[in-house]
Amino acid sequence: MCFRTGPFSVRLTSDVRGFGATWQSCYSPMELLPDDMVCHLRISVMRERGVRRWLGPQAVFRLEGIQPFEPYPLSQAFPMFEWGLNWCIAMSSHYHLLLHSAVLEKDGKAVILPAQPGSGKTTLCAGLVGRGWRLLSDEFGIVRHSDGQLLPLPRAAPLKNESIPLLAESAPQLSFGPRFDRTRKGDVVHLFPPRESLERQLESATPRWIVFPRFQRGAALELIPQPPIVALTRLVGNSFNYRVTGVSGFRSMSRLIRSTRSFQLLNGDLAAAVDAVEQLLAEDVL
Amino acid sequence: MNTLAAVLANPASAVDLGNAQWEQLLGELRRARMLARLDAVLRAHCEEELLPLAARELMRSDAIYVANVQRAARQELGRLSSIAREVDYPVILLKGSAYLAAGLPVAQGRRQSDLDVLVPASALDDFEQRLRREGWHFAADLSAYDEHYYREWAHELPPMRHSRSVIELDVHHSLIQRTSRVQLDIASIVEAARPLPDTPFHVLCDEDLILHSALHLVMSDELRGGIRDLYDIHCLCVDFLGDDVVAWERLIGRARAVGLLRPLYYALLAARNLFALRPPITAWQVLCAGGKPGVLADSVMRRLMRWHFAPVAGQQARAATARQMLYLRSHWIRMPPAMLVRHLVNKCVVTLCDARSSKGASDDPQKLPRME
Repeated sequence: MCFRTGPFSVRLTSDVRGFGATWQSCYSPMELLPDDMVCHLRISVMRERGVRRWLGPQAVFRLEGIQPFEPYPLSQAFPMFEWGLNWCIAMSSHYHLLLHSAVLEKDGKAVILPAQPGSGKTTLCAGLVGRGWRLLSDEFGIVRHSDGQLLPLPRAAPLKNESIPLLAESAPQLSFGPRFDRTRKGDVVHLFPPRESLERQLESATPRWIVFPRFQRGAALELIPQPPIVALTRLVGNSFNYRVTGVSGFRSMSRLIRSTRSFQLLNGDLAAAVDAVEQLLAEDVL
Repeated sequence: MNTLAAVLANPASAVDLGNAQWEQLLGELRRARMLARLDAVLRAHCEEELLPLAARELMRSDAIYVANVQRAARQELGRLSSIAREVDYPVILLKGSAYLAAGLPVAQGRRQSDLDVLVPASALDDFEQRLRREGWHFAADLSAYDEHYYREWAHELPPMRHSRSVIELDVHHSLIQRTSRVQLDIASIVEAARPLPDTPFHVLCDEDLILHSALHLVMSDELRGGIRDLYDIHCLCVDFLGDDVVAWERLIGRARAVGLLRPLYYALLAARNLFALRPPITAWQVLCAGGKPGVLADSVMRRLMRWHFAPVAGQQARAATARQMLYLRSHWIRMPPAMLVRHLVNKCVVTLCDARSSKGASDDPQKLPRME
């Protein structure tokens, strides 16, 4: 089976029962590609052979026949595939500048939410999707060098632990995947990309804000403007491939900083954080 | 037929590949770590627009990555040059670092993970001390056994790394393990190295550059460099020797003089079969007369090399068998039997202990080293 995810095409094979069904329910409105095309990545998600077939069955992720990391329990084939594909994409797209960030868009204006440990990036991202923002990606800010536009890569966003009930409550209209308990990243439920995100996955967006989220239990909301030099430094540290991309990376990075406004968003409450981002949009006169 | 070998033998044919062949080629390229290398080769042979978009993008991505690694390698050479300028013995660049510093076409898009240099054995201690003073150090987790292995038996120091560098430096005092059955005249090889203009470094003379590449390929664990290193040898032969009979004879004469006829024979045999390298017939006959093993060994090696360098889709079992046999073979040649047993037992124990202690760790795709 071949499919497109944003700027990449993937040929996927699997013999893991249940994996296909989860994949379908996550990405179903997405158009499949013809079988005879040349794809970027050839990925397989297969049952481990040998005694492992019966004893603690496992699923193995392979890219071009190479197994880049250890197998997962068979029941966690879907999260393994999602993380594995992200890793493949991060390795194979040095012709773009790649940020480790969520990206959302509303009214033609995009906000970048860079990830940091404990930042609550995915939670805030899901909260914004619940308020009608278009999900470009939960994981990658893909900056095209030629025009600085952000390219979508709409994929399942893995919500972890406490954020699972929080989102199920505050945005019940969204669609969520099955629950995976005790994965290597804790308990995980994926927010499936809304239909509109998938249908518009070839439509780029113009960056407008960079918001560095920081979640702190009980903290009062604070939206603190960041001087460009601070934002630049933080974003360089957040990029998957800034060093690799050399001069083009530097140009794209400085254009991005020049054409956006940056903030640090300290928050202890999802609804208030979402409101703060909505406020940025409402006050934006351009 | 393996698609990558066919394309390397005739790069212009890439424009005629069908989609199914491209699908296969892209997998072979990633496994061989040659996406950027083929990008450079195809640039010289076909119109980019005629290639599939996904293939172009993948090759370009890898070319950007490799350009970055080469930038880092040049920086490392810059750091080393201050030491090379101070010493009165030659600091000889080997393999990828030599190709890069000498600006050879074979360096284009060539992926390398470390920098290799050779100094005369008598200068090894001095060179190591200087490196340490300038900020290079050994890995913190270097085990006592590994250190012992390197210092007593190997032809190089344990890998070193400068605190500001992302690539490793391998310092050699010979081109082959001390314990190996193949004996070579390292003094004569060091003697023949030539200064590289505008740098404080030396590189091996042209013939030795080819011979070392052949030796490295044929002697390393399971012919580790694979088709990439074989293609290096092919390119070096085409660049340096072409159709020049005298040059080919000089290469073979040199192989005889330093004791490397056999590895050269194997490497050229494989390059003939895979890339249609055509040494002049007289030169080839001389090489066969001096370098060809017995009939049985010859036919087994022919087959193993073909399975290993150019595995055909659907025949993974053969490739795996070839890899195991070649692994045993390389160890057999490098160590006397008693030492081999000791080495393999030690490696086995270490592997088992590692598997036990690190179970469940380091296998998170997001914690993997960034950007391979």
